[in-house]
Amino acid sequence: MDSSTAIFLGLDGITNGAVYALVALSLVLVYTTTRVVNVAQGDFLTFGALAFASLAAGTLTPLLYVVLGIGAVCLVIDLRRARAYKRSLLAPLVRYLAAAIILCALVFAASHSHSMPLQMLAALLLVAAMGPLVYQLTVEPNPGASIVVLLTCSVGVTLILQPLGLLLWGTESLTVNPISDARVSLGPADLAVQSLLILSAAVVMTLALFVFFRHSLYGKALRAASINREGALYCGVPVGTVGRLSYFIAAGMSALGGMLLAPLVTAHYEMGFIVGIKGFVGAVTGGLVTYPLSLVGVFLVGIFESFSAFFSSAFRDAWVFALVIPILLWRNAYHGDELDEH
Amino acid sequence: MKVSKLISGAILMVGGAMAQAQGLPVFKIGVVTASTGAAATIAAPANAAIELYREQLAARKDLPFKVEFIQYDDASDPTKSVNNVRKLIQEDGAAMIVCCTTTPSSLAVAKVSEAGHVSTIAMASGAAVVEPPAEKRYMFKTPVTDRLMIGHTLDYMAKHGVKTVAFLGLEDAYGEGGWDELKALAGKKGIKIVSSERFARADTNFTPQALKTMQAKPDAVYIHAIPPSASLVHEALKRVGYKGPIYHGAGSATTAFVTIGKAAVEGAIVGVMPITVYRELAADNPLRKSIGDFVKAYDAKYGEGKAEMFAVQAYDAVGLSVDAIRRYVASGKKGDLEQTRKDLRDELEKTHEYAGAVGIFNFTPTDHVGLDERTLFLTQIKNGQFRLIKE
Amino acid sequence: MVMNSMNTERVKAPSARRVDPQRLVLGAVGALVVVLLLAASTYYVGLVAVLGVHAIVVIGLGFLMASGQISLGHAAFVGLGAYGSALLSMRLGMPVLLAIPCAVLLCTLVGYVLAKLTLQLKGHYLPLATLAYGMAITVCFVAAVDITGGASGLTDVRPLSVFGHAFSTRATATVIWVIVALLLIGYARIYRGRVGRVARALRSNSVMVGAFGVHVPATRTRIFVLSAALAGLAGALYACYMQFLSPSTFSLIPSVSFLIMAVLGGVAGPLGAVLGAAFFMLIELAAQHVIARVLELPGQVETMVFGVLLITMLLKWPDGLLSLIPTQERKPPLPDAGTPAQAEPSRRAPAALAAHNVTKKFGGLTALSDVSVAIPGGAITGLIGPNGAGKSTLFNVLTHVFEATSGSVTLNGQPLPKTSQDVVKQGVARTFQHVQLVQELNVLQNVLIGGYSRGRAGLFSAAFGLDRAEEAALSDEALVALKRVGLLDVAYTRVSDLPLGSQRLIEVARALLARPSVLLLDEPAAGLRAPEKERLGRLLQSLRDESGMTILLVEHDMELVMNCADYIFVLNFGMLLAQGRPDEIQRHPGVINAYLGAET
Repeated sequence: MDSSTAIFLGLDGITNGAVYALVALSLVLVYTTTRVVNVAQGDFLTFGALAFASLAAGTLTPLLYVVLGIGAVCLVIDLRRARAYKRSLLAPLVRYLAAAIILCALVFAASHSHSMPLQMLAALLLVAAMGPLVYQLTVEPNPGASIVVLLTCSVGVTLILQPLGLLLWGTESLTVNPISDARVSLGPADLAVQSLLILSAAVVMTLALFVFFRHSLYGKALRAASINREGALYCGVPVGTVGRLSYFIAAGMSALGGMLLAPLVTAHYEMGFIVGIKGFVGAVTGGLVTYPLSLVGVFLVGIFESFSAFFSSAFRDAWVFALVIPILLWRNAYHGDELDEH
Repeated sequence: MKVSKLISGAILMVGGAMAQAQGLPVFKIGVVTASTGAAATIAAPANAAIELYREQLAARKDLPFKVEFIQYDDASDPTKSVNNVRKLIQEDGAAMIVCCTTTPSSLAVAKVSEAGHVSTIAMASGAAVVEPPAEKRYMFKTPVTDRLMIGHTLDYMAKHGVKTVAFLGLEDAYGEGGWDELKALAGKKGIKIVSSERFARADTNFTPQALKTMQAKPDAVYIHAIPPSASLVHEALKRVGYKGPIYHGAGSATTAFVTIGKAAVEGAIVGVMPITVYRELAADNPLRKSIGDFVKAYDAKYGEGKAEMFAVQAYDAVGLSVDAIRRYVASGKKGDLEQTRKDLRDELEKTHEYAGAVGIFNFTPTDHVGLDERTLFLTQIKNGQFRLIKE
Repeated sequence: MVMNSMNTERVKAPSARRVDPQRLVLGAVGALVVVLLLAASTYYVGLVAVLGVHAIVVIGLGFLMASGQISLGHAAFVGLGAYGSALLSMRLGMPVLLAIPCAVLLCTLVGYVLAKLTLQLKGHYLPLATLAYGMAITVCFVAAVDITGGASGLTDVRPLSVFGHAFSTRATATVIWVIVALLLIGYARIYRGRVGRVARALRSNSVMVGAFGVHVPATRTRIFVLSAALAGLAGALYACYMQFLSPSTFSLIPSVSFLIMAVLGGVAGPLGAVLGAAFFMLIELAAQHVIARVLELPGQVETMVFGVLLITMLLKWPDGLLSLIPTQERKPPLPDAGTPAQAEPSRRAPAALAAHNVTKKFGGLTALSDVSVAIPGGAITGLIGPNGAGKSTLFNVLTHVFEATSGSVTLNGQPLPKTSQDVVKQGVARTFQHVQLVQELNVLQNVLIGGYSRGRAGLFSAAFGLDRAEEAALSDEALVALKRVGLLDVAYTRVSDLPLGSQRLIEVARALLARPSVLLLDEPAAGLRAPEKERLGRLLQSLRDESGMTILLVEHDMELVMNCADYIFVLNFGMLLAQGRPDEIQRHPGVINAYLGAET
């Protein structure tokens, strides 16, 4: 292998690793605030891509109805809880209605316009809205459950979301226009500007999340909520809202990842699974708790994948998955104590 | 779609009841497809075509028999395929079976079909499904085998001076089938294989494989995949600087290939089945009419330009079954279910010059694929269209 | 005393319900399977065969999960067994009956290697590791096309055969279910046996079991390897039944399905595996019939139903179907109230536990500074001091939970053994500040954990029923210990139903089962009411008087300490402040100043 090939593969690896970054960041966000290892995160990526593709094609995506339907169920749950605690019924009602109206308006407008930013925004908010709904139905009933139980619950979620995607959009691959068609040459490598956009998004989100969680009071409160739920409650941290908000942001980030990726590989119902798994591998490098290391992790995965695909394409995935074990062992040796259950 | 399914299901049930009342014989055809799971992409158009056929059949009033369809989903899992076929044979009393979508599933059910003496028409691409003929008396298939198609393509390559070829294929049963046939046939045509790379349907990056392929400096590249990966790999090859001809297997013979690949796949040479180029066939070619009718009906029901390879394979599978039933009833034979099944198999094996939507079928005791050179064409993508290459 | 014997009399009477509901269910399932195997069409026989294969996998997986580990890659082991057995018989011409054990051996080896690599991983790292290697192995099944036939599958796999006669589907299914039946018996015994008890404790009380002689990593490894071997066996049998192998059968989705079956059925006993697998299959079939044929909805809805089901089960009935069936454990009869205590251990030789110049630093903090205590043999010694004085640290050094930074600990003049397993073998047993009882087990089983280090029966001895004598002897001893602490009448109650005072006494009973010569108690009075404290004090005194036990009591409760201790050490700021008899200590000015409070 000569140096230009190595450079090509390296750069290619980094841009492709960046594809997994947004999902990896979402995984870390959800884990650090709710202790849920969300294996269904890749499904939000799929939904974001497909919803965006639907809107870009001018159709009112049926996902809207699903979200509204599940939203209605969650509204009922919230109303019953408000009644049980003798709180105002009006507040949740207003919140849900406002959200529903905004979503409908946005989706309607997006499907009838040609503005890509509007379509992306509508799709993003629509899929992000699914986050808190999923949280409310699967985690909120028993937020103190063990990590293993929560992980298995999220497996249940992906068993629901993946076929739902198939039902709503079928098996066809939908093409989506990229933000920019241009390509750029970096040395021997030929890269799409769209890929570089993904890379920038990944870096920016990593920095934002890192700063927010490390240095702001809100960030610390969010982390506290997952480390010691009751303690945080007693300190006045609204732990329930924290969970819903985290899921909202995480779903939104993954959806964004899907929308940016779709122009490169088309939007289809299977795209989230493999990206989700590889995002996992990347996030695991950071122990699922730190953002910068997760970013490094996905780059590692991308580069490793590129090189192993070059040398032995049939076994490339085996190498990538096998990579997880040494990473976990290394993390366990140096950071194992943060894993003891409280 | 759900409502129309309910309606057509109701029609069939009423029709079946009426048929019983009238004394018309009812034949049950079992259908097993991979509606969910890894092969769902291939099964979706198949299911659509079968649905179309059911509607067309239900609308016909002139037939001296009635057909009841029983459909199951095997979730792309061979264990489930076996279960479903057993159920169809032992519990549901199917006279003929259409199964399965993928080669592994079809191979798995072969033993059950042979033991149960029920003819089974598969929609899988692997030749092994119907070989060896002595052991697979009840297995038939509708798609062109990779062997025929790749052989045809290799002949063309050899004629155009290609001495070395590189292979890029999916790492599933479809891609493996292509690789097996290429390996077996390339040497015989005097072409050497210089590299073999694999990728997955849902991969997001094909550059490393493309780079490795290009560095092997082949005279031609052969890609055996389905869209979107088929288009994306092609694109990746162009991007890493490969300038030579790129050939594709029949999996790329769909409109999606061009829609996804856009300008990058211009010039690709794709092996196709008649459905892709039926408009350019000679006027007296019977396929022109049979395919034209199918495309018209399919596009009317599902949308412009949707008719393609996976749909016609399923359409002909049910079509051939019903045609065998028609000839069986016309021959006046009668018997219990076991005898009927054997007789239907014999009728099916006698199928002669059946002009379906895939091609023209001629089954014989040693050939349960039934297709010949008239079903193989090579096209080149020009201006986003599949243009027949006259040979 | 009269009340006690009356209580015991009452409990001794056999309970009203004669039939164990779990056995009823087991019988019903068994009867159904037999009927289907004998009389039904090949379609049903095929279903039953696959159900049996699943049950075998989930029996092993369930026990693994009961011990607190989770595997998201178990289908990979099934695949290794299937491909291993198929390839050995097809490519090497090995007879199938030999190929199957060889494949199981292969899975055992691979399982061992992976376990050694990954079982040290904590928390959720372990499930992620299982996910990773599960997927890596599946990829290899596809990629090694020349060996495994790749994604297109491996055809003409040889079926089971004996002397050239191939087994029919029906015969193969029967073989599979005979194996299921044997495994059910074996695992029921394992669950009840020595390793099974501590396995449940591994989930949440791994430090405690370590203190009673359990080598935690080795035990975990053994349980994992056994589950891998079982999965391999299931795979080999599946290969014989199906005679065709495709990698998709051994990928992530089937791994998840096995997990769902284990969760559905419950992991409290091997019956849960059969229930879970059966329930799963029933839903699949019903869903296909109802959803596909009656409702004519697309097949995707079936998977969604599973997802909803999984989540509902996890949230509402996390212990699975098994928890819905009341259980009636076979209970050995309790000894008469008047019988002299059998298996009463003889008086211990007085044991001397001493710390010599022990210093313990945690980073920059010095918790203990040059502390020397010689604990008198055959007496009750108290260790008191204000919070932060270093009592717990000294306690942990004396039991070898921590290693001293400098100085040494000796038992009877010899240095204290390095590992907690050896410490307990030398006759040092302890209780815990926060009660460490296993919630899934009843009182008697918890007490039996204490005798772990004295037993020898492992997983196989339990499975084959070779541990009867050992278990019976230990049971007797445990009942005696319970009688000693006055809890004989609640021997079969779940520990979570008992008040804290009783739970602490159970901990003492458990420690007694280790036949210690030194008993170390960590704040046993915390949370006890006055009568319970009195009971505890009387118990300790009787242990000292009747058995000659050396007892060390780390305590805050002055009442308890002053009343029962013969000798007291007082720690303050990591240093020994005073030592002496209780009355001396009470008058010691330094102690009063630092701790007891001066009267002003």
